[in-house]
Order: sequence, then C-alpha cells, then structure tokens
Amino acid sequence: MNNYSAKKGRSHFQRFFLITCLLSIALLPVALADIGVGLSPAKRIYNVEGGQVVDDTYTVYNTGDGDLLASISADGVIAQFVTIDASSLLVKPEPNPHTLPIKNGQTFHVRYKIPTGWSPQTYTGNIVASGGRAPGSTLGGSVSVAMQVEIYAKPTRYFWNRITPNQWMLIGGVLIFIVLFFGSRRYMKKRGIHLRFIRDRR
Amino acid sequence: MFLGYAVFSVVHEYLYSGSTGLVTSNVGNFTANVASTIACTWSNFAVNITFGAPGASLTQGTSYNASQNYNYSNGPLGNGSAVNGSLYNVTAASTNTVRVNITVKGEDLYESVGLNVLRITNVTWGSNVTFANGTYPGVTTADNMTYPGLPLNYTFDNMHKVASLLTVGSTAWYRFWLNVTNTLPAGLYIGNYTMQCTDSGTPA
Repeated sequence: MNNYSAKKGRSHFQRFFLITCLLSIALLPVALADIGVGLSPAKRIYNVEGGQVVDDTYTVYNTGDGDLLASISADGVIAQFVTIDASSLLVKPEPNPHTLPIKNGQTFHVRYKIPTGWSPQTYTGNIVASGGRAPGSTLGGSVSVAMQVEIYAKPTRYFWNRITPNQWMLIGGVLIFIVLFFGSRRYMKKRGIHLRFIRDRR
Repeated sequence: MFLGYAVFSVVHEYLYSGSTGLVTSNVGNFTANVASTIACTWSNFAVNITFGAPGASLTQGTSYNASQNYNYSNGPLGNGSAVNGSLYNVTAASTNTVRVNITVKGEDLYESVGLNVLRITNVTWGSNVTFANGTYPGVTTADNMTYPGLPLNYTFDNMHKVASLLTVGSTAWYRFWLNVTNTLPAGLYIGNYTMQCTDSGTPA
C-alpha cells in the first residue's frame, strides 16, 4: 500500500512537472519574443534626369520571433516626391536561424517623381520600416531600419521639360492676359473705339 | 583618298577579325542578382520599458533605473559572463551586407489622464557594444553605461550613437534612466522612443 501510494505520489509529481515544463516551453517564445526588422536593399543610388519617374521595389522582412506589423515611410528630402504603395505590411518571421535569401519578406513599390531642374541636384533620404511598441509600457519602444536613398539628378534635357507646373501656369496666365488685351483692343478698334495711352502734358 | 582607304581597312580588320579563323560559341549565361540587406533585432524588453519596480509609484525628485537595466544576473552576454547586465539590446543581423549605425530619439511622456507632460529629456541613456553590463572585471575601459547618461532628444542623435559601425552579428546593450522632477504632478506617464538602424556606408 505504501509502495503504491509512493508510486502514485511520484506519478502526480511527474505529471505536474511535465505540465509545468510544457507550459514553460509554450510560453517561452511569447515571453522572450525578440522584435526584428530588415530591409533589402540596404542602400540605393539612382543616377537620373530631372523630371524622370523612377519605380522600384524593395523588400521588408522580419528577423524577430513573432509576426511584425511594419510601417513603411520616407524621410529626408526625398519624402517630398516619393510615394509608397503600402503604409503598413504584416510580415511573418524569417526561419530561424535567419539566412539569405529572404523567404517571408513582403515587397512594396516605391515611385520617385524627380523634380525638374536647371542644374544638377542631389536628393537624399531614407525609406524606413518600423515596428514594435508594446502597449502598457511607460516608455514604449519603436524599432526601425532605414535604407539610404541617394538620387543624383542631371539637369532636365529638354528646355520645355525643365519648366515646373507652377511656371507653366504663370506662362499660361501671361499669354491669356496678352491675348485678351490685344483681342479686346482690336475688337474695340473695329467698333470705332480707340484705346490710346496719352501723356498728361500738365 | 589613300588615307581614307587605310583607315577603313584597319577598322574593317579590327571589327571582323574574328571571322578569319577564331571560332567562339556561346554555351550559357551567368546571372547573379546581388542584393544588399540591413536588419537589426531588438530584445523583447527593449520595446517595453518601465521605470522603477513593477507596479510601484515613482517619487518626485528621484531618478530611476529602467526595470531591466541590471536584471541579467549572470551569463554569456558580451565578452565573457556579465554580472548585472542589461536586458535591453539590439543585434545587427548576421546576414547584413553593411555595418550599421544605431541612433535613438524619443517623444515626450504624456499623462494618461490629464494634460501634464514629462519631457523626454528627463530620460537618459547609455550604451556599450562590448559588455552587457558596461564594465567587466579586469577591464579598465571607460564605463559608459552608468547614470546619468545622455538625455534623449526629439531627433535622432547622430552625435551620440548607440552603436557605430556595428559589425554583423554584434550586439549593443543599453540602459535607460528617468529623472522625475520635483514639480511633476503625480500620474501615469506614457511615451515612446525609437531606435533606428542605418547603413554606415562601410561594408560588413
């Protein structure tokens, strides 16, 4: 009887120990989930012409342990003329240990509308993928990875392409004013009304 | 006339010399799409910073450690085993094709109920790329993970980097401290900091 009880007791203990171990293992990845974010390429350099539109595709990937909601944004001078087709992407973690090539990365498309220019210009900035921020913490952390973008823009080749939309509007306004002025003057002249600038001799 | 013929002959010979006896055949192409990558991984604790003991209220006019500043008791963090190491760390991915710079910035902490603000400059930090505890027995290098550290800025502080030229697979550790001013009204303050990993321009 005593032997049976002892066996039964050990069995309970073993079961408790086993469940505790399993629970610990199950909770371990949650408790120690690292957060990682990556971008490919690390840097991009473009040699273009002012006014040109450049399309490219980049990859964001996850080097952490859990799913990552990555926010994609741009900063620096390039932010004025870049459009990104996705503001946030859900990215599955890369297999562990992480090796190349990237397996679970998400691609996003970027379009640069290079401003027209009369002289060579250099535009720099970053495409940033960020994630993280644990709710409930005093100082929540956001982590981000930035790929550098350098754009070397030559002057726009054709004269007409160098003119910016605002300059076109100004030119259009001046032309309309000239046409209206001389048109109305001609019309009035036909009607016998003569417009003339007369110097005041007083 | 003669000169023109001579030039033509030379150019013709140069362009079509292959047909006079040299035979080549194209049997295959090499294609290589070389991609560069940049990635960093932060410890779970790094995105969840709490100051003082868990659940405890902070006292005005006192400075506090972030809760995991010294909580790595003993283990292989950094070179050798670290005692009182920090559990806040960032690691440059082993697949990086470049060395990385890591910078940090922050935003003010706002009272969860109320309008009071705790300026981010009251949060200070220090980092070390060699030792998880900033110091190591027998090593006399400067300890840069001790209070008071550097104040967090609103923009990425490129003058004071968390890590410069961090090589592939290397880790940088850091600590945070919070200075609770005498005039700060009681309350729960919540803010955010961002740590960014960028290409240093130096190959891995």
